[in-house]
Amino acid sequence: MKNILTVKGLHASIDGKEILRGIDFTVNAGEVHAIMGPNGSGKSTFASVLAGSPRFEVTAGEVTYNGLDLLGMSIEERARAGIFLGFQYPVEIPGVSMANFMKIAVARRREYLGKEPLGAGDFLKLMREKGKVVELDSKLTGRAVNEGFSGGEKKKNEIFQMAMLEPELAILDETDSGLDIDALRIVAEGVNKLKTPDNATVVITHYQRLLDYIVPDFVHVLYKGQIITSGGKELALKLEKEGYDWLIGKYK
Amino acid sequence: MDVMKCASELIRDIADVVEVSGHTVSIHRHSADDTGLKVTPLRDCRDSLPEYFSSRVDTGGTGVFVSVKNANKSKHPLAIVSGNDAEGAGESVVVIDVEPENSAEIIFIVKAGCRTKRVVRLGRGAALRLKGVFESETGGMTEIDSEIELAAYATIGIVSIAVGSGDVRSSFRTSLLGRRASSRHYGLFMAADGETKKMDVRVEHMVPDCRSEVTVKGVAAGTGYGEFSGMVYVAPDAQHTEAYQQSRNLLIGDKARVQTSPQLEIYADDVKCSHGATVGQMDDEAIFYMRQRGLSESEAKGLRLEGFVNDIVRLLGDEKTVECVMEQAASRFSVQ
Repeated sequence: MKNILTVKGLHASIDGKEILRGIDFTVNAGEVHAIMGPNGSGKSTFASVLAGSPRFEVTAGEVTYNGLDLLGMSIEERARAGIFLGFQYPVEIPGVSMANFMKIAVARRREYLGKEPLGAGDFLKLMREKGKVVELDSKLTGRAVNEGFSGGEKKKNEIFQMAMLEPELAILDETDSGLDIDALRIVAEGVNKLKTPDNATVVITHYQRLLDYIVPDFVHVLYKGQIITSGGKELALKLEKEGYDWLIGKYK
Repeated sequence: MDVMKCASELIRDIADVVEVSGHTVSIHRHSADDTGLKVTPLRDCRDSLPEYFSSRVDTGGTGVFVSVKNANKSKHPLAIVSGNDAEGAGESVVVIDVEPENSAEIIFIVKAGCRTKRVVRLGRGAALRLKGVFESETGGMTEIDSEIELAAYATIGIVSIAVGSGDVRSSFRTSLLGRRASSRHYGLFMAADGETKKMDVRVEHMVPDCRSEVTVKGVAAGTGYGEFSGMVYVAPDAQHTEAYQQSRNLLIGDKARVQTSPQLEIYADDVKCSHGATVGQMDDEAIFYMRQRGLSESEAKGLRLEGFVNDIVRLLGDEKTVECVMEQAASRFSVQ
């Protein structure tokens, strides 16, 4: 099976405070991983560090992505190489239309893959086609990025962008937060539609609820900056029923 | 191509052009249609100029008198290009008289190092769209002074844009003298390294029931300095005034500065007025977000900047002019 991501002994901190304290994590093509854990355990930090957020400082460890040294790559190099971060709080960018934004993003990704640039007509066709994946109103794609979007629309918009860019590794940070049950279903089905044997998805979530729709092959529990246990999808069910206490008791 | 050159060339495709350059005034008709806009060099109408204007400007100077009378509704706009002549004399006067119930669109292009004074009068129910692109070169200060008065039911829409290189100081005083007069002013200034851009906007509500709106955006980069001074004055009996004033600014880099003072001076007690100002940096989260989608840092910053200014620039209307101003903004403020 093709390895996509290997993380070894990853440590990261913000303002001198250590958040990630030795993460080991492996993702192969075709897999879906869920990362769970109580608030403040470092889940979002882990996602941000993989995407290259400048807010965090990596102090130790190594990360290999498709054979590349990920930590040596810039934010955009990672993105172009196929790492996609679905933001927990998608950012509003006033005055920048979704179409303009995506036009550049898609062009950079295609350049990286050595594909021909898309013509204007084909690009619009792609926008329409991918908008359907998450039932995103085509009017939204004509508006400024996330500006005035509802919580649900913002999350759908994240998955729409994922569909446009066809990443190899999608990391979805609390994509389920703030979604009502219908939006949750649409977003989760969107993610499922994008799944292929060649790509992989990491979903970060608080709740088992999302995992009813996006069924993980592996569930990991992150606590105090380390993965303290891993298992199959039944682990998520147990956590839902019994909470984290039984697990983290011995780490307190 | 710089904005100036590009705008002055484009303008010939869409407008009648009046060039006021030092001591000379020349008029190029875009088409033979009579638009109802009569343009006369000041020196040819010294004696016939309405007293309203002759008491306000130096009629001995270079300039033009634009009279809007029996205007066919804006077939095409009039463009007034002010620049220096060979001797460098760059002071000019533009006087605009829009008669009651007439409407017109006038585009101003002010070239480097000029001083231009504009006096504008709108009669009852008249409407004027005034769009200005101010350009300057390093070393020269471009100054534009506008005094505008509106009678009842008159409306004015002003777009003023200073994105070229060099220093610009523009000031506007709009007086609403008749009931239900209204004014809207959208401004943009962009100060790159070493430049100063100042925009003063004063709106005077002298009578009840008038409405005004001022939105000015500023960008400063490098060691650039921008300044917005806004004042909304509401006279004691100007009840039911609605006045809104906004100043939004974006700083690029640690040394750029913007000073903004959106002020209100209200002497009536039954009014709706608001004012606000923001000064922000390039927002790191937005830049991270865009780079995470594969945009380079400079593409992300450029897009962010474009997003900040384009709602104002778009108001220039003509697509090619808008494009040309946006390109200028993007190239001079390319952010690494």
